[in-house]
Amino acid sequence: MSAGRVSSESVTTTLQRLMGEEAVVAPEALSSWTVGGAQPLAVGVPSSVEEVQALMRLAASEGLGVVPLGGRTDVGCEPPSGRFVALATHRLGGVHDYEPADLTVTAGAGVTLEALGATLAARGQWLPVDPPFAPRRTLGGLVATGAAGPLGTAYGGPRDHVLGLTVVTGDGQVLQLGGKVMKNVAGFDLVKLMVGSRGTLGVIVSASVRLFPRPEADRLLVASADEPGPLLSLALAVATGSVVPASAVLMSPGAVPGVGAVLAVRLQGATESVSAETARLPANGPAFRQASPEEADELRKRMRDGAATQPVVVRASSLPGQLPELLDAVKAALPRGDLVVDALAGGVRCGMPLEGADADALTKLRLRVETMGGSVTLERAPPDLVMRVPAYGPVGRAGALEAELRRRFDPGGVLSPGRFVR
Amino acid sequence: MVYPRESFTPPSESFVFQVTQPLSVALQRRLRGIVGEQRVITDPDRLLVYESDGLTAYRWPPRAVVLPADTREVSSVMGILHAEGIPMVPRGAGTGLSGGALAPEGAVVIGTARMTRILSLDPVSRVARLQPGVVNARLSEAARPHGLYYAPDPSSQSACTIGGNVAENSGGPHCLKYGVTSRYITGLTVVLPHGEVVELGGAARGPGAGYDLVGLFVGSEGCFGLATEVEVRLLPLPEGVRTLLAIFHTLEDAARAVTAIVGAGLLPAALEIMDNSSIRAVEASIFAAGYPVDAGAALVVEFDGTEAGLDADALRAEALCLEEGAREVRRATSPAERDALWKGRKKAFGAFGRLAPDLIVQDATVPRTKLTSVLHEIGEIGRRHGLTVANVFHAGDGNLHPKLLFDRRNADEVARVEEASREIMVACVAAGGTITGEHGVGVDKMKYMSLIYGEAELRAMRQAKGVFDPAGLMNPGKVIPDPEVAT
Repeated sequence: MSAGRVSSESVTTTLQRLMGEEAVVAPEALSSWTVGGAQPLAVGVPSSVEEVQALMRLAASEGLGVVPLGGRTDVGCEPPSGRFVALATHRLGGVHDYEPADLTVTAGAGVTLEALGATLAARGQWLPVDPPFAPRRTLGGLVATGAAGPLGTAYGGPRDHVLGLTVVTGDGQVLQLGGKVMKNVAGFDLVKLMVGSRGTLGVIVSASVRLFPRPEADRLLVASADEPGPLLSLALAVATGSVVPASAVLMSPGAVPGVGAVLAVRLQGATESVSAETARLPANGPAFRQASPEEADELRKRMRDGAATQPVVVRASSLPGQLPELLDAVKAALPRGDLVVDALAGGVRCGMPLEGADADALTKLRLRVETMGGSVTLERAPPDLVMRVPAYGPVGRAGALEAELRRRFDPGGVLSPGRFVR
Repeated sequence: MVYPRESFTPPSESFVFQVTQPLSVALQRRLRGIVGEQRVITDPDRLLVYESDGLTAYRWPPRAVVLPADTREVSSVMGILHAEGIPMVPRGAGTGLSGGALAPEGAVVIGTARMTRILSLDPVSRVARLQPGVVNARLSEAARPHGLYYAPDPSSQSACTIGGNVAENSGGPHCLKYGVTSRYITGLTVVLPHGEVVELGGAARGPGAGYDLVGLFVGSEGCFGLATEVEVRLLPLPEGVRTLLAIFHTLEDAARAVTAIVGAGLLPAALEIMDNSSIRAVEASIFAAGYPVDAGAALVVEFDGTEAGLDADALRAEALCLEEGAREVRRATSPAERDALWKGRKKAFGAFGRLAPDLIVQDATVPRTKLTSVLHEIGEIGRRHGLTVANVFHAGDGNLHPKLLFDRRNADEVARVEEASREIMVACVAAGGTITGEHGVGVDKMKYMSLIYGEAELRAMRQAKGVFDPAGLMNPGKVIPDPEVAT
């Protein structure tokens, strides 16, 4: 292997020869394509399955890693081990096959959710996901991260929405997994294995997903207080009540500047049913009021992105019933963090400035949450913090299965080496 | 699909009843030492119960059946069998329709019949943990006092087990709105073939902490290991339900009405169609539900959710049905009336028994917009082969269940059924569909896998199995055809 010898210039030139002049990012722009603080040797921008294969083969022959990148909204904080090429998906675009009456669409990995959403909205449909920075997130990135956002409990997440995938594996093979139909149990579910595999098992080239009719009404109900405390029992009452909201998010004052702490409950459906549900929301706390359209737009953005904009972002998961304990633990460990709490899923995203993240406190938090059966993940963190606190927590015996799956799907260790599953 | 014994020649030719080699006395003693004297079945007469699953024409008797009580016993039993190189087949209630629970030559069945406890039910977090032998419907009964239920409801829900549902990634009539089993399985305790116990997933851990091994395991048809504990997500019971029965002159009209309802932005909980053959079968049986026997098709439309708004949805659906040519729409206003409207649909399977001695239930999914053309094609295939084909299916998600009636004693008819089944699969795949929507591949559909997958995909699936079952002892000879057969 020639790892460590091949130059950035020569990789760029070879990529241009394989895929065309425009198929690379200019050398001076490489610094904005870092992964976990590490800069790629080159960024290839393939526009077809064949070009993805060519890039994979080049990387394999040069002993380089490949890190697929979409909208770069959720890259993760682990640097790849060794030298690597970034594979940008923005030229793998296009809505290939949209049949509204089937409630399915097939599109290229590089399509942003904003562009896809506009196509779907024109036909009264949508893909109900709202992970951080969803509009800039690509379809491929959505699949690779598997992140659903607060809508995930009510609608399911990418794992439930993705019907089929075209992927290129580490050794350059093309796999057509799943299909375009709503129910499909033909063979083992490798689509589920790929969803959330964070660029370690294959490069997602295109995806078929199931869609939903847009709800007639989309109403946001808001309860506020100076501090999150008084809103927590209200949030739990919502999570365990008979009304099933589309999402219910509790935010600390820092996550919604100028408003105080907020519990935002999103109700969707027929206008008549949303009105009836509004009247049935629990009343064991500050009263709910309906947000104005402008306020609702802003709050929905905060529910989605709040806390995720900070330099250090930590996600902690538990069961909804464990939320009081989880929030106590998070607040004790990370007192400077802004909190965005998904009351239906039982998870919290905590964002803070660099100086607010203490490695020892994070380690202790992880231990405590793990004993609750939950997990703590670093979504964003500077390299020196990731060195001291691994981005992902312990995996138990299942970790051996994950590592072996990875080894079999990418025997050459080309895809995102050193990241995610070890 | 079902092949009569006379026509089907499995690779091992082991479908003829013979126990090739009983377990050694020493091995039997070890297994009995773990699970108890009565819980290792080796008596050929008692093994007969386990020679088939829901596809009753396949008959592969197991070498023995072991009935462990919990994770620890399963682990010990599997560890011993693995060390002896003996193939293992997990089995729930045996209601599967693809031969997945059949025992290949020399295999031992591990039944979940004693693992029937609901271990915990947390109404606050809406998760329950249970053993795999719990019957699907019993879980919803247990959740009901808390205002909760378990959403996936395959037609066999009064008999089938959660463990079997996990293995098959079972569907049912309510998948259009609620999705399939995999959406509701949050965690698993799995015993790997060599006896190791692993915890996969967990609702508290949330997604994103590693690969979705739960998602990979669900639907693996017993080929990866045996799930000894299943963590499921429960949903609040819907406040209200509205059920309509629309009667159409033609099947095509009914299929068009389904497309119109979905196209209008409505999201019914269920959209189920019965064709004329099915209606007549039901009405001639003890399950007669008052469907008009001259109707081309009957469509059941169901909405659930918040009470307010349901009537409006139902009225819109009714109007769309009438626009597409429905000659009559009946509305259920009480639970009893709802049961009556559903009765014909739910009992259709049983009603076919009096029409022909044997029946194949096919299973395939097509894009919803292709329903009309594919149904037409299936009708043509039936006519060409001189066969009665009846359709009862989940129209909302394009999941077809053509039923082919025949008599297994008629070798010529059997050959025509086999050929028609293959042509139906080819037609569904050509329409952009797949070879199974919810019944699984088992042994029955392996021959069709190469219609939808190339060798690269099949190899990837073998790789995944190899990670869980390197020795190839877990439900061998199922799902993924051998390389030479696949080409």
